[in-house]
Amino acid sequence: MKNSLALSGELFRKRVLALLVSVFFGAQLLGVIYGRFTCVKYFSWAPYDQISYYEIEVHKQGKSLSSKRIRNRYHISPKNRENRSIHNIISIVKQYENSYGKGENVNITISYTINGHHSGIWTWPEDEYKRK
Amino acid sequence: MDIIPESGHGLRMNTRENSELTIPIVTSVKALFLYILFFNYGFINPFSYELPFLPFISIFDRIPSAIYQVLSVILGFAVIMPLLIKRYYSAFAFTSGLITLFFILSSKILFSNSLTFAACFLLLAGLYYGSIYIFRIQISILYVGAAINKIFSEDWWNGLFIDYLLKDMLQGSLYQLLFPAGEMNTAIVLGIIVMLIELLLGIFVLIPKFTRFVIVGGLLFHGSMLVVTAGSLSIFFMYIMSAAFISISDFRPHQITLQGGHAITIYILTRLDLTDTIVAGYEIKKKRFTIDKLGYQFSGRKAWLELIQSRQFAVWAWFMILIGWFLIPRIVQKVIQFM
Repeated sequence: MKNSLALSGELFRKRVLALLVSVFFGAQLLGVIYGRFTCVKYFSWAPYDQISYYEIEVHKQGKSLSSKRIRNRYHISPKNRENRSIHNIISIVKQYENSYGKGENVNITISYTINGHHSGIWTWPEDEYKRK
Repeated sequence: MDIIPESGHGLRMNTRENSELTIPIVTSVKALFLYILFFNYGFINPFSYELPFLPFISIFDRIPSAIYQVLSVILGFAVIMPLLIKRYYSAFAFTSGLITLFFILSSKILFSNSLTFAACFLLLAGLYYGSIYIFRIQISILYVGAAINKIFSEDWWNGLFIDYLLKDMLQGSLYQLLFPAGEMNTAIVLGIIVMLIELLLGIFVLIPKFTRFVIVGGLLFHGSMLVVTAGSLSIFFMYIMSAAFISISDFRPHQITLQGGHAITIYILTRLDLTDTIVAGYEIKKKRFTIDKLGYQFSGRKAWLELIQSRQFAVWAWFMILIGWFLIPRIVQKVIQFM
């Protein structure tokens, strides 16, 4: 009796774990599928599928912010290489301005070159993309 | 110590020290603990990052920073303790995987594919219920996901990505030396090969009879990336995939029992061993350092030589080389800055 109880307990534990693992894999697969319909690539298992060089410029009340202040603001380098989608960088800046920096009235320009050939500019607060 | 063969791959060691995971999984998990410890040491320092900061889930912004600082300490404990006490690997793997994923979800700045993979893998080791297939599926999702993202990118088909990566970005790479400017055919072929390899690895890893092919192919793939890019890319992936491949392998090093010598030597050797198959013997009165392996005894210099030739040492040395590859240049750079 005790043995069969322990056995069914173990079976139940295994089934719960298998369910959790399935949900975990399901979430990852959703991430890959979702990644096909969005430019931002975070949980879509897309390492090194795009390389960009970018430069962030921020103007606050008409004055240009220094590199140090931009780094402190977004916790990323104002001029660097991004080994994933450039839209990841844009999403960081955009999220900051929509949350912590809301109402600060800043003008931002991110210039970028993807894979050395496609150049563009993203501007805020317009949230617009322009080809260079 | 009895070693009881388990169904499927790997061995389950019937000891008090390690009764929950197979040898290959324990080795993978310990290598990934080291990955967090050495490659992502900022995570275990409560003052490295100001979290939460730009989280993926906006409600995380309401979590006080103090919680993250406490979690950093717990993470440090979870990755160091199992290496010392050699027990509770599942619980520590689950804890460290969960905290690392939570940190990543709490800041877009912290996101990286290799770290996310390491966290997922640790979490899975924590949820391990006897089926090695969960690790195969995890590896498959990574490779298939990576292949799909490339397949839908035009720049991977016309060679722009590879050509830019190898020619303009990685100054002094082998590719730059071998192929002249404007020559795109090689880049196109290389791009297609990469996509094909990733797709095939993702599919074949699900079929147990191709395990050896996948491991050799995967290591060659990441190794060749390191060579072609003159060591600039793929070091993180080489490390985490080496760890991941061990978990699906039938890695079975022979047990080595250490006798005699200094207690400290025995302690250090058993703690450095990533496979948990180097164990301390009971003949502590013996003065000379001796090892027992496959029923044979080796003493003194021969014992050390035998240890160096063991599979346990090979695995340890492999991960140490990768850690050194990453850490030594950084340490040298810091030293030069101070000078």
